[in-house]
Amino acid sequence: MILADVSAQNSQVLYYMNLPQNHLLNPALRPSNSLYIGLPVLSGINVNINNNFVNFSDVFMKGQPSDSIISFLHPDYNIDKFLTKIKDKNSLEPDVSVQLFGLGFSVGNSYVFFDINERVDGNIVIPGDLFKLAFKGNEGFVGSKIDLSSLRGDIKYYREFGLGFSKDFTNKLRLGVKGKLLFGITAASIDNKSLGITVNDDYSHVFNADVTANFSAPLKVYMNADQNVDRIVFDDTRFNTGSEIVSFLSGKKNIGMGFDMGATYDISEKLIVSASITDLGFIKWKKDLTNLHAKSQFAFSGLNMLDVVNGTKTINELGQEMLDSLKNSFKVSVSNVAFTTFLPLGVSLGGSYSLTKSFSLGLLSCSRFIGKQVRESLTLSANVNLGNAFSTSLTYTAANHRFDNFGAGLAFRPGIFQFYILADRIPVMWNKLKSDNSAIMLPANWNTINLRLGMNLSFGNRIKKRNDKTMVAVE
Amino acid sequence: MIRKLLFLIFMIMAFLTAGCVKETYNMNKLSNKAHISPTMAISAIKGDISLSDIVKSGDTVVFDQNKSVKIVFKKDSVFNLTLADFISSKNMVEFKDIDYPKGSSGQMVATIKPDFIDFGIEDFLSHITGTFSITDPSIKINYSNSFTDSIVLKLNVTGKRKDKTVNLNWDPFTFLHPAALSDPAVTAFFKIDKINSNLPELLSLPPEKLDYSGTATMSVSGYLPVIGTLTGSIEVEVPLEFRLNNLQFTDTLDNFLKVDENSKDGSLKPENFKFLRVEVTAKNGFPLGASLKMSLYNSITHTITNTVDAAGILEPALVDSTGKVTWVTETSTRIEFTKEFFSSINKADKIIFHFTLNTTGNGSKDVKIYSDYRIAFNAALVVKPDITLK
Repeated sequence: MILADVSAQNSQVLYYMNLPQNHLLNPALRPSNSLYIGLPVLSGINVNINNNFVNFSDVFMKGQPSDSIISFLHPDYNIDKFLTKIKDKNSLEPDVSVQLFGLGFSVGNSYVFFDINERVDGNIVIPGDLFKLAFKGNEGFVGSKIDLSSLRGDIKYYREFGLGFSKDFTNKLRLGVKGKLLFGITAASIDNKSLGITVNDDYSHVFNADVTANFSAPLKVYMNADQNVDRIVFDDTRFNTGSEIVSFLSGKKNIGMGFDMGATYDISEKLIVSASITDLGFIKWKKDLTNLHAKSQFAFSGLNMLDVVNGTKTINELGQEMLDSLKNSFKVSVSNVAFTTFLPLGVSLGGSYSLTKSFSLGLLSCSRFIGKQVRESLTLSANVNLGNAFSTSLTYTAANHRFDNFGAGLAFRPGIFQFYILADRIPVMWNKLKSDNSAIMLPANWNTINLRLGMNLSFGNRIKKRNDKTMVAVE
Repeated sequence: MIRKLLFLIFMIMAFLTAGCVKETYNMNKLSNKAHISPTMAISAIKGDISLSDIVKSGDTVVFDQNKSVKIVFKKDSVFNLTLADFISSKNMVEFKDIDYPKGSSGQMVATIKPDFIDFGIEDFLSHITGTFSITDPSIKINYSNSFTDSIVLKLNVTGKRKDKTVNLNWDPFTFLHPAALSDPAVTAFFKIDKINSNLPELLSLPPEKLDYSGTATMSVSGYLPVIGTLTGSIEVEVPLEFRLNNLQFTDTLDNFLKVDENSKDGSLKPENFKFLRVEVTAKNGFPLGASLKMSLYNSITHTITNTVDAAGILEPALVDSTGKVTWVTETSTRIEFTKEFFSSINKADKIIFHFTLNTTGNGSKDVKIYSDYRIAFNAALVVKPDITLK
């Protein structure tokens, strides 16, 4: 298995914990409580920021004298060292979700759940060649192509209404589904069909671009006299009253749908396997549309002196012709066409083995499909679930080209309050940043920063009947 | 057992959660120096040009059927002698008897007064050293003669360049003439070329100035002519067949690269560049090679502060024994302008350019120029700026 980039839109630690939120990863999973209520903001905040190429120590390092700090752009630093960290596709994936409301309850051997989440998903891919071009120039590409086809950007803010249901269909098989209604608030997306620069041996260049940047946002585009985009500004005149702001945040015009489904199967009393597909869905963006489209191919091979020698043109005329041609080739057209963004499809396969009634070992494979890229991870976990009162999980995840991702989760329930906190990667090493009289701590490793925490109101404990299955058997 | 395991898990979790400080960074000591220095290369100019693209065949430059090229200069009525030009007492020499119309014998001489042609290239030639050799020039003189007596043309031509002179050394020529007055005028021509003169050596000086003088001597035997004319036109023909050996052109210009150090523009400030390189590749089908040298010169201290040498920027094509190109020569040259060069710009007030031209074999053999010779070239700029980020 190639453990490529991280896929932690939802925490892998969550999967085997006895928490109502674990239906986010597999709608067939259910907590042991009979009823839970998630309060706005309090019940769940999830923050993931993943990148696969840069850490603090790659950007700032010790200089000379040793207590001085230099950046990777400092003249004394060898930029090649920084570039060794750069990959062909460098991704940055910020992801934040806040639960506005949650409700889950048991009806017989069924479990019904409903939640509302505010979500911001982003994924940006910067081609490695772009870094090399910026820092080393195009000389290293002679005879090859500066491949920018992987340049991608997609960030969207939307509201998710989810209604789900799970049920034991046999005494071994439990199935769950969840339907989602999505309301898009704002989005920006780059649709890159092709983008690159071919650098020939004689230093002539062929530029080709077929790129569309789609926005669903209150923007104004101003064109210049040549009908090229002059500037794009945020249209703040749209937000003079509270009702205008509420109207914008409602996202009623940008409707989408999503679907999750999952299953668990008890192979034996101790061994349970599970599978799920999540975030199969899309949003159709129809409001506040701006599409900037650039499609062209342009060859620049220097000024052809034959025309000058012939006397048909002056060198100034040739230069002006070249500039005009360049400007016309890269003319950006503006339109207002609806566009669609897709949720990052997730596929999870898991298995757990109960060593005792409260302690199990788990194995979980998560794959996410983002555009043309597939992100995979593999998580080993040790899980302790003591009824409703206490749940913890300790995980080791191989993901994002790293094998030192230790995660942990902890949930406990004093009375009706169920507190939880979990992280896929607990920073083992920290950097301390001192400035004047203050100091802050930053994780030394930035490639996976993940935290989920919250508080649920939990009532009852439905684990009384033997045909009610959780992933971990509890007394 | 379970309790021990739980204890172990908590110990690990506590350890991981607490973590440890890997590095401490004092951000007050963060250097604000930042720069990028990418090497950018771009094709600047290119061309694939034949001689016929540069020069069109016409009256002066003529492409033969075999595509060989020659320079032709024609002028009508360069001389027009009538009897009056001959008959005058001072022109009539060695006459034994002047007993018109009884008959007489002797010579009448029409004089071509000493004069000169100044080509106005003295200043240009003062910048040139080396040898230049035109192989096969010729001057064709077409004439029409209706005199019935023999006329001999004696021409003295001397080419001068500085203290060098070359004499044409052309033997006197006797015009053909009609036998009797009733016969039509004789139309014929004669040539002055490398066989009967020093014309190649004279033109290869090349001369700044031509001094010329001469006589046309009519030998009379019997009655004096009563009528006659001798008219002529000239056709100078220089086939482009020559050899050059280290023909150098040197010129000194004011330093146009110099910028006002106080100027905010400062596009050529040395700190802005690590280097700038011009890469020239050429497929040269001409039997001509070129080198270029550029020196920054301080005329006050009489010192050269920096030199950029592009020796062999063009290597001449190979030729066969007839001087015709048989093999195109490919060259690739890098002309590097270093940071030191840019630093020296403002220390110099002059720029000295040296161009050196050689034909194939460093001028050891004659080469011919044909109209279908061509040169393909590409000049690219490779620049490594040193961009400071603020």
